[in-house]
Amino acid sequence: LNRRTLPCVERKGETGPFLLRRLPPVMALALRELPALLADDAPGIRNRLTGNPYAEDKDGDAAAQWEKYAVPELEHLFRSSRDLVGRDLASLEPEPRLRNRFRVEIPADHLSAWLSALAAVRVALGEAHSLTEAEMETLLPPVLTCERDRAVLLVHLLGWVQGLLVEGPEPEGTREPRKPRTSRKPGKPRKPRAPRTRRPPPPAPAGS
Amino acid sequence: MQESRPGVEVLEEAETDTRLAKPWKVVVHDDPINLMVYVTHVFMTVFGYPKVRAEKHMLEVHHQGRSILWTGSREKAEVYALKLRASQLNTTLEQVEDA
Repeated sequence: LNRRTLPCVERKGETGPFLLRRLPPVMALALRELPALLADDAPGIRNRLTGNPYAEDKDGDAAAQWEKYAVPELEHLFRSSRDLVGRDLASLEPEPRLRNRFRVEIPADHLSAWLSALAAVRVALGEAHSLTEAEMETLLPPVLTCERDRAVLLVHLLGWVQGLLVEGPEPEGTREPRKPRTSRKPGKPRKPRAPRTRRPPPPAPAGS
Repeated sequence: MQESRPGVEVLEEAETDTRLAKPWKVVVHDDPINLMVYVTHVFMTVFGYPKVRAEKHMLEVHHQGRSILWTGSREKAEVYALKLRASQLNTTLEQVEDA
């Protein structure tokens, strides 16, 4: 893998927007699907939002209070995250100087909306297909033949994006330095040259 | 028997409950989907924990299936639960048992 073509996050200055760069087409497509996957009625989405957090709620009073006060707040947060992500995705465009790679700009104050929207889709897909930890660690078949495999792929792709955003841009000093054009390709180390020696003079002709 | 006089209201002595309300625990449970780095990030953001402490709780969730992130008043616990739920972490609230 060439590090210079891998997806990455860059940031314009200390407080500027984040730039998700060098996204391969499959990742750009997965991002494009986000708003649709975040639909209110998507399976799994509502469970996580509205589920009663009280482990022991004998009279059901706590659940009723949660439903009344917390659920509308959670639904509002969820919808605003979805709307912000949807709007930011309008800036998804091809990389200017890199073939088959895409990029999208994320304003700094939209970062938490992106992280929770990505988490919501991943969790919803996981719940809808009852994905297990073992399944998440299994290699996918080369050809995806069922919805379940497609869901696993999406969970992985969106997880990659989420991981990039959580870890943020690479610090300046850790970036691979640009190599000068004239440098040799990495490979076998160059053999040390033998010191130049003068050829011994030809022997004098016999009989002189 | 108490004699009732006109114009005089007799008040019964109320019993005062002096026990303190039992605290609540904010518990996060393991799920197969959320990334370890993301869970650590959420713990740092929601509770303001330093990275080392956030990672300790994340690993507890991962290996033991659950971790108690915070204990205290019900109102504050509910606010934390709301933030954790908004971040898609599987969160419950449990009242501390009597010792």
